[in-house]
Amino acid sequence: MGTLGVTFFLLTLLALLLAGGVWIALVLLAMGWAAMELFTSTPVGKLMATTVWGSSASWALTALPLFIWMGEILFRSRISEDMFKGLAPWLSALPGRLMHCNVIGCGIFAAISGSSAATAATIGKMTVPELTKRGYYEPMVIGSLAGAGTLGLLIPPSIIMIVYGVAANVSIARLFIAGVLPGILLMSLFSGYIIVWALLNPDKTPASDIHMSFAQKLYASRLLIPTVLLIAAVIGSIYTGIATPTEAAVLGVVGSLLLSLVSGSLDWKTFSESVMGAMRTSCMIAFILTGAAFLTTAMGFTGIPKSMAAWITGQDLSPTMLIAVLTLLFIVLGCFIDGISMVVLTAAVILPTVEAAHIDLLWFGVFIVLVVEMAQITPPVGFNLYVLQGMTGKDIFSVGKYALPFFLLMVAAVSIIWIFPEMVTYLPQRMLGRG
Amino acid sequence: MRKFLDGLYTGSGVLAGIFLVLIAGLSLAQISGRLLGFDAYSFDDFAGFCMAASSFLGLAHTYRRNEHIRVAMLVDRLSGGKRLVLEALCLAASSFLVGYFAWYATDMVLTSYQINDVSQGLVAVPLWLPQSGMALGLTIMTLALLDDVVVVLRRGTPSYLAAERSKKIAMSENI
Repeated sequence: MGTLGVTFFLLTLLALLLAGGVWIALVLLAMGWAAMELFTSTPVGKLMATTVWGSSASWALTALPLFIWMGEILFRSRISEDMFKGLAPWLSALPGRLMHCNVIGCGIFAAISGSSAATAATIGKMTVPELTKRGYYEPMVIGSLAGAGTLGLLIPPSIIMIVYGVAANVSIARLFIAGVLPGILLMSLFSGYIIVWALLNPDKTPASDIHMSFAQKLYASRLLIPTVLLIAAVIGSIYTGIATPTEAAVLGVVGSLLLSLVSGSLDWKTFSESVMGAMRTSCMIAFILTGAAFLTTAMGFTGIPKSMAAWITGQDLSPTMLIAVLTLLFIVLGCFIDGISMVVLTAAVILPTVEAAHIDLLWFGVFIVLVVEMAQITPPVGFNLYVLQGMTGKDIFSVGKYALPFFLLMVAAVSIIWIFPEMVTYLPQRMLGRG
Repeated sequence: MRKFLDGLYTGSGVLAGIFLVLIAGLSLAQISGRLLGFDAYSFDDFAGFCMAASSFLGLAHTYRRNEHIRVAMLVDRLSGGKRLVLEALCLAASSFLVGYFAWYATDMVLTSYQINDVSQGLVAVPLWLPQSGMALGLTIMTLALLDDVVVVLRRGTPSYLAAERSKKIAMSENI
């Protein structure tokens, strides 16, 4: 069988196993196994065990469970309530008023949480009932929350960036810092859209019910201090080179434990639930990484990624076209598979092509995170849609429709970072210390 | 038997949770070491070993809570007998694959033991010790999958679907 035949066979196997409901980690393992059996005479089982051991017992990976744990602790704390009370007095003067709580709240929470579903759930827990009660236009409330929740992936810390960093062998610290400016860009686009929409539909935003003096507003903002301190500890320590991502994560865990202890939401039950919840999520992701590590090794043996890279380079595709095609491909894929699987499949198959086109792997990391963000809000498969479905009782297709303008804004953000790649590379180039 | 198996899944899950807390402890010790000027030898290695132990020992527990992801879009459209047949096929294939993996992971542990393989760091740890966490976790995962094969063959509901149902009920009660 030639390379083309094997590629076709592997793609068919992939589609069959995925559609049949086999767990994604196992689909990746099975693909790797099939590819190895077809291409080599190496003892596959032994190689599977040693490859997986090498990739699993990894220090770089330890940042993953710690950041997930931090998110689990904060989700069980009073942080979303405090954040709403601290932000609302300032935002109610803007056109669109409290809807900006979704964007700014998610942006701030994203800086202490690595997951988009957790971000949407934590912020939405407070904003959805509060905004609905005040009579805000529901499609905008839900859409802006769905869109802004995805900031959890782009603004560091970020689980998906750790996955990409480990899979593509790119510095996690630099990836984190690279996400800061694009994250702020996305927040401005979202808030800007809300302002324009509110000015065009003045009757759909209820009047402000907050009447506070400047001093009162400042006093309300004291509730934001612990959050700001946590952000400074986590992102600041990485940017200044004081801490590695793992160490920054452990600072975050200790900080969040202190925060819940002080606010009285920490007891043995919430503590053990947070540990077990974090363990399960981390275990699910680590299992996928296991399959991905083996698949990547197997793909190396088959030479498929290399011939694909050579073929695409031979097509004289301009980098702009390549990114446009990849964006489309990822948007379609994102409708059916989750972000983590998308990232690991890309790392196993497409990275050689990306390198051959001279695209910076750090930039590509931020690009893929942005595209995965879009995948979170495209039906029928999208984690943020599930979260919002559970929260609002609307079915995922309605939530997806409400989120559409925000999806388009993300497409705009991809074009902007393509035209101005410095948005991604500026901060990492100025980082101090350990890369 | 039922009690023993459930205890095994939960027990290894709790162990996985303890390893997660250990990762935090080790990293914290490393930071304190740097600030106070003592050397935390090979703590990177130890944290990596804990990571592997936590990831593999937690597999079965995570599986039974239905937290390993899969594309359920098409499967969810089937019901009754057709659904059970598909789940049985899916479970049988998965048991075979994970069983194969567990077999070779165990083989790796035995080889490391026989040739006295040790880790590269300053503190040389015999590798069979951390590696056995991976072999054990995969073996328990194989058991959990086979367990559900038996359940489905007896026309019962596999653990992950039962977990999904109770989660949905809990959610609708919250709303």
